[in-house]
Amino acid sequence: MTALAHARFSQIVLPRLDEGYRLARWLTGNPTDAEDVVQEASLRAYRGIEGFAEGNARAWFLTIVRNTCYSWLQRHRPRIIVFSEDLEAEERNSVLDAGGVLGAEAPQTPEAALFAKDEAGRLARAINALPVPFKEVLVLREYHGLSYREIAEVTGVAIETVMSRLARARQHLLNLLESEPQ
Amino acid sequence: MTADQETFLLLSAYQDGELSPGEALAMERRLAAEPELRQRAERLRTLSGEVRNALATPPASDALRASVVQQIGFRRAAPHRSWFEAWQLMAAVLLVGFFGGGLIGGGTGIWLAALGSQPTEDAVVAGHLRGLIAPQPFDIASSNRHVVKPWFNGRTTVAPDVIDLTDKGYPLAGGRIDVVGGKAVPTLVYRHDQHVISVTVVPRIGPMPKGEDQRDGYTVRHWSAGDLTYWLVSDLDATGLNTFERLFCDSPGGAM
Repeated sequence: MTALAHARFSQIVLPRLDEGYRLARWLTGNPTDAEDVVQEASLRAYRGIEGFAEGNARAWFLTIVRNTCYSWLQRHRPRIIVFSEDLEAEERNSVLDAGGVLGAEAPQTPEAALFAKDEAGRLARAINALPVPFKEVLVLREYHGLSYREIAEVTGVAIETVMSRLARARQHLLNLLESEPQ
Repeated sequence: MTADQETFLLLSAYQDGELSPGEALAMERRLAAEPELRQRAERLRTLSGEVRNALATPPASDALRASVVQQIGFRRAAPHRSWFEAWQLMAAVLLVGFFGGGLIGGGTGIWLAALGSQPTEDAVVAGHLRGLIAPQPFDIASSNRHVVKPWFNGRTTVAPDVIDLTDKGYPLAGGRIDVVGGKAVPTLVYRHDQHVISVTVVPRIGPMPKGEDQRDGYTVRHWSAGDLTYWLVSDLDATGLNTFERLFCDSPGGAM
């Protein structure tokens, strides 16, 4: 039993640690927290590995990482997580239009401070400041290259929501990049 | 949703290849007819490329991988591409070859060096950690190389050239004696912002090509020059270390 679980874990989870780490890195906003999250997510994945029958192993593991990020954020950064799926569209809109104020309330890490100085890091900073539900669709699409259907599966929302969040995140970034001085 | 927002939504989904064939066709017709929309599509494409670049953070560290593996309780660490392990494996193969062919002799230096690298690495990392735990990471505090170098004389068999990189952003903090393989060896201690860089100098044993390893969140690098091998330990990032290594090696008396 354990040997089998180990074998499956080595096959299914270990090769995807990098992908999980990068999702966690952007959702938590920093590398150290991401390591904690990936460690916790790996343990959850290991415990659940016997229950994972067949299907999209990648989406399965990313879902665990994503959910671990959310519970981690709830524990450690309760202010960031206030906007959730049940917020009215208008409210979400205002959060986004305010330039990700909520994200900006996150503690200033040395990395964030560095980003602030670095002209080339402007985009990374803007991405970091996106509210988490927008950030996750952006990362899963642009970095992980998941389809809308897979993103919907990982984030637990409808495909239409994925589509609109992605469009709004992109529009927001474009507006931001075009408004700031070069 | 305004018409404009809807257009952008469709454009974004079109770019991701997520529109139905009918919608995609309609979008292509619009793109052909509306130059302004084409321009918008172009900006969106550029943004995607830039976002992808921005998201490419460094991959998960070997340390994270190792701690995940350890947490799950594998008996052996997962295979990780440590340069030292590869080298030791190679050395073991060589060794078998030597004994198998009865060719013991000229090659012994090679495997001695290989077998020697792991304990040396252990020792220099331990020295660095001891330095960090102690009230100060050095036994003699001085930013003056003319003070540090003579201090080593008589205490260690190796007296390295002490390189001062203060004006380059890596001030010399002092010197320390570490014990490697039962012998006292000199360690130069540098600072860069909040980071401490230890450079331990040991007599070279056999050929020692450059190498790098990650240990408990510290980067360990070594390179050789003349009959000395330099071991660097620090938690500084790769860019900072590359700069330091280049400055150190390029300085007169600074190896390579």
